[in-house]
Amino acid sequence: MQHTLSPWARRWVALVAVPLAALACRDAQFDATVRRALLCEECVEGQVAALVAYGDMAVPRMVNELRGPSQADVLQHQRLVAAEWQAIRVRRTQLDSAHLASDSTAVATRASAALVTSYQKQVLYVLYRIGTPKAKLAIRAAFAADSAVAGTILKPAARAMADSLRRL
Amino acid sequence: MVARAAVLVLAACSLDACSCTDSQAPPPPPPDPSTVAVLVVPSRVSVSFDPAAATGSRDVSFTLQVMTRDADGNALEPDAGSVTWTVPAGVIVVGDGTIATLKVAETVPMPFTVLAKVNGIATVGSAKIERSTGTGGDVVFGEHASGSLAAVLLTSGATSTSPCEESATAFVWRGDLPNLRTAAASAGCRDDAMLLWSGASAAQLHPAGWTVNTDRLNAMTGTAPFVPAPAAKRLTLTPKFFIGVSDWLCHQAVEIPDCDLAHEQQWARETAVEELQLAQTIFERNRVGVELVYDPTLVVDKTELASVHNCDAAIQWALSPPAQVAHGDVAVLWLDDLDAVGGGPARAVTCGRATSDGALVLGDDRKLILISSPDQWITSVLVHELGHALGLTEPGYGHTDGVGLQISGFGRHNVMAETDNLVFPRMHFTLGQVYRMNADTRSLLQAAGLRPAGGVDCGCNPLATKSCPALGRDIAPLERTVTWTGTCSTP
Repeated sequence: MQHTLSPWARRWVALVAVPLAALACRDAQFDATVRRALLCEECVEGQVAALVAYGDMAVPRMVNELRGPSQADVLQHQRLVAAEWQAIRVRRTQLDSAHLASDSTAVATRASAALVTSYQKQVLYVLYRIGTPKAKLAIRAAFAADSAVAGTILKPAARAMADSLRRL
Repeated sequence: MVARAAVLVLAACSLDACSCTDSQAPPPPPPDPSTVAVLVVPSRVSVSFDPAAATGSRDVSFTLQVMTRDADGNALEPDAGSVTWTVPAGVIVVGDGTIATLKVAETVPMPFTVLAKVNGIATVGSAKIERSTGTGGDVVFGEHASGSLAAVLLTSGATSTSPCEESATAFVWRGDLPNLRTAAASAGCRDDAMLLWSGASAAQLHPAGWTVNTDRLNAMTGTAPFVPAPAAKRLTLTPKFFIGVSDWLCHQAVEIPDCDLAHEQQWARETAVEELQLAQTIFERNRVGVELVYDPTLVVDKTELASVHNCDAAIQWALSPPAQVAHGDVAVLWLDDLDAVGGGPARAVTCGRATSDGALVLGDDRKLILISSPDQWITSVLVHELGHALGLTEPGYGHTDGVGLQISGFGRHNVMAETDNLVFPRMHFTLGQVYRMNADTRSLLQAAGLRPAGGVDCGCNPLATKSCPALGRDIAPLERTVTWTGTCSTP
């Protein structure tokens, strides 16, 4: 059985479906770029520059990301920390207990806080690098919003960074 | 119509012309990181018994190792004590860890199968032990038929009466390797090749020319028990930790409970020790050949480092009298924050040989690692930086995976992967990486003369095998193909 598209359908594909597909692809590419830039470790591979290149298009997303990684990422991160904890559990008793965290919960809590801190700082840095009036406004607004709720949005190091960047 | 439109959108998105398939495309969904197989390496062992030995006392010993493979193709080592070996009557297993020595009496019917069960994993690994069909009294350990050459071998070390200074359980790889040091080997001594030590075991990368008969020296009947290397012979590295964090965060506009300098320093010390523990574990598991030592007296608070946020300032501090970082040292500075390096605020960095303006030079014989304390959301940061310090800097900064990097195909468990995924704990070095960490002239071990075998320039091409094994070469090779899209300025 042969399927043919009606003239209307062909026009629909040309005018709507293909652009939509392109948009979807671009969104996926953008998502990957955001992820690489915000979760890189040494960030020497151009991860941040690739995101900054989006300019003002990236600002709304960065504002959203200031809340921190997604809940799914946070949960996955906790599993990662648990796996690392498991790997060193045998050695744990051999070392200087005075310099060790008491349990895996303490380590996971600390690591989660560091993840959010690091993530927020990276977002702020991306906004700073974008450097447009819209991006600068986003930094100032983030600091103001955080101040309005007594610093419950931004982690302390991220808040300090926002405070510095908003003055530039 | 809506459903059809959705199908069309998806179909269009799968076309090659779509940017979904270009090099900037997002990574595919991460595979299931759970273990999918248990490997026994080697999976086939051919043995024969010394005809010169008295009947009834003929037996052979050989070594088997258990590894696990995950869905991503990574070969990993299970935890010590988690392996249970099953062997037929007449076979004695020494050691219940991931590496076991099997002693087989001539009376044991062959072929037979050795099974290895790892706690928590449903599948069981196995190795086939068979009688050699070759001539002579050779004992062959290898994933190969009797009499043929092997790619990866496990062999026991020299005996207690051997003239070898260093010997122990070893991985022997017959590959396209040049001689690192062509010393005249004494009879029975295998010390003419590089030995990569890790606790009681070692990786030996032997030059071409290995034969089945060579192994006979180490495994034939009647030799004295195999002995581990004396502790004094092991290569150790004791990082110095300088805790340079301050209480600056405690003085921000928003009050932070329980925040003071002592609290910040304690936090940093705990994190530093956690990361060193993981580094020790990973070095051991992968037989890096370097024993990382934790010395609590070398964890020192340095409040003057509060103003240090980059390599320039760190090198200046390190080299100013009295010099804090001496020949052969690895110094780890735990800091409040790091400046942007290249693309963004770095969470950690290993300082190169020169500062950005070339004004100060830190020799390759000492290494500085800077860690941003508030950004330590993963414990494997230090071991990753130690990889850089030990020469894993080429290509693409030594990073092995991640979209957009120069080299890909390594598993995402690899220690040198960038941390743009939250799924895979970084736990693994390949044999090619371990080789470079010990042998490459970029490594601290060579630059500082800590490894006496003499270094080679492995170059930047990870696929080349002229001077060093390919970077992705491993004991149990990855199933994924290693690709490289970069170019070398110096081949």
